[in-house]
Amino acid sequence: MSSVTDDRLPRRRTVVREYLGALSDPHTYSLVHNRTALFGFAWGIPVPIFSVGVDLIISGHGSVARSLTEHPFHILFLLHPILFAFVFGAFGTVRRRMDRQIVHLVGELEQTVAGLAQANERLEDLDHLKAQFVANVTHELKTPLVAIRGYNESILDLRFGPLTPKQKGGLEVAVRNIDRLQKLIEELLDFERIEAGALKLELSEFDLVPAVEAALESMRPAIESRKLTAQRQLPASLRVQADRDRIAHVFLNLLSNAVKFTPEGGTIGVDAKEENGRARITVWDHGLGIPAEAQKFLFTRFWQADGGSRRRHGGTGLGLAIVKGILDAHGAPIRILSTPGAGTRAEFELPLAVPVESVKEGMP
Amino acid sequence: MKKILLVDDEPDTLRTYSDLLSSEGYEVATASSGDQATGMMSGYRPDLILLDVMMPGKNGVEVARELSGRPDAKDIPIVMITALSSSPPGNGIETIPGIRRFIYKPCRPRTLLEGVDHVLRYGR
Repeated sequence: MSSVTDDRLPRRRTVVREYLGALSDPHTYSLVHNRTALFGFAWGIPVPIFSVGVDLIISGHGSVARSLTEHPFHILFLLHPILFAFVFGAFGTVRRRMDRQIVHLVGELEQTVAGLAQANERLEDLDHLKAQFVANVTHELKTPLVAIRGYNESILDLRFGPLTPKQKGGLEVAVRNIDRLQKLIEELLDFERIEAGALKLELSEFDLVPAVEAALESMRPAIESRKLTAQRQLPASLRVQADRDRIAHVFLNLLSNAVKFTPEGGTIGVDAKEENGRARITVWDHGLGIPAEAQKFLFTRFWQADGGSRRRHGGTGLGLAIVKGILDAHGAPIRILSTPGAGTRAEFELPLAVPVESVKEGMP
Repeated sequence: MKKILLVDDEPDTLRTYSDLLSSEGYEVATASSGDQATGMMSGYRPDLILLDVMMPGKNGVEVARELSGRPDAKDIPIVMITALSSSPPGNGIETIPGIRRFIYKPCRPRTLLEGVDHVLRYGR
């Protein structure tokens, strides 16, 4: 529960409790009831007096008593105060019933709120347990990978002697799959951190252009194996303020999607430019695009546009959820624009680095 | 020959990294707990310590803090090796002078060797 609610709830509860306490006190009840009846009676008196007065003035003669008894509605005049008292008394009863009902409802509401608070606490405990569990599992999964990766790669690097071509080929396959497994584990952990709201950004100022180039470079094997063309429209330099490693992760995930969902021989690209005092970045492809009905699920974890494509394209379905988590933490919402059959564009904006001159101006 | 003390509670990690470091020509000693490592330091002076963070008993950060406060060990550079994805926050790691860098396991052999070499050459 947020701290704001924590502060307010008890105070609000106290006020409600005091009010209800006063209402449910029998003395207050009878007071309210009797006062309402008296009030009605009191209001009942001036009305007939006023009417009789007006009648006397109009007729211009006779006594008050005669006027009262001869008046066509004299019974009503006489009974006025009593009627008023009855009506107001009834109001009092109704109001008392309503107050009781309110006491009852507020009591129920309080119980519900308390129940919800308890449920919330349990959920928070569960969340904490889950985060701890994922961290432990991740650590346990990574530890055996230390030896598996270490020995496979050391042997592949010929540290422990020469290899036949077949041994070398086999080890290369093994290492490639170790990479894949390790990436999956890292993604799960990243995702868990984002879910738990525990993603801590390490903001720094850096040039986005080399970061984009590095991401494209690390995607090169995949780009080449699918005979894709990678285009870029980048300025000479574009300094931003962001978490460098996380943004590199964003580029890798977006590019990896672009590569995955673009048919062989197609085109993908990254554009970046300064616009309205921010860095505007687009990762695009001329690929399959995303069906309209599927676009709303894009950021749903584990979800993939074509359930059947899981085998063809691989992946966990965590990529975009992680991208969104990282960019949200930067306060930089991502937009995905996609036309089925024509391609997809992922756009986001990052704050520019503070120019050196203005930093100097700000100093004493 | 440069001497490296490798500290990790996982026997297979100890074996993997000591084989790797030996193949590069380092003389490697191993310890499987923080207490064993600090105990060894009285009669042994490595050029660098590779120290796991998450260990039962005394963890890597506590070991690093203890060694940084000892006259006979405070100058030895420490490289933390961890299976966590980022350095553990909020325990004053940056104030421990001995810790020169973090290496994240599992890593490529090259990453470990380059890290070790860099710290031995340039002290960071």
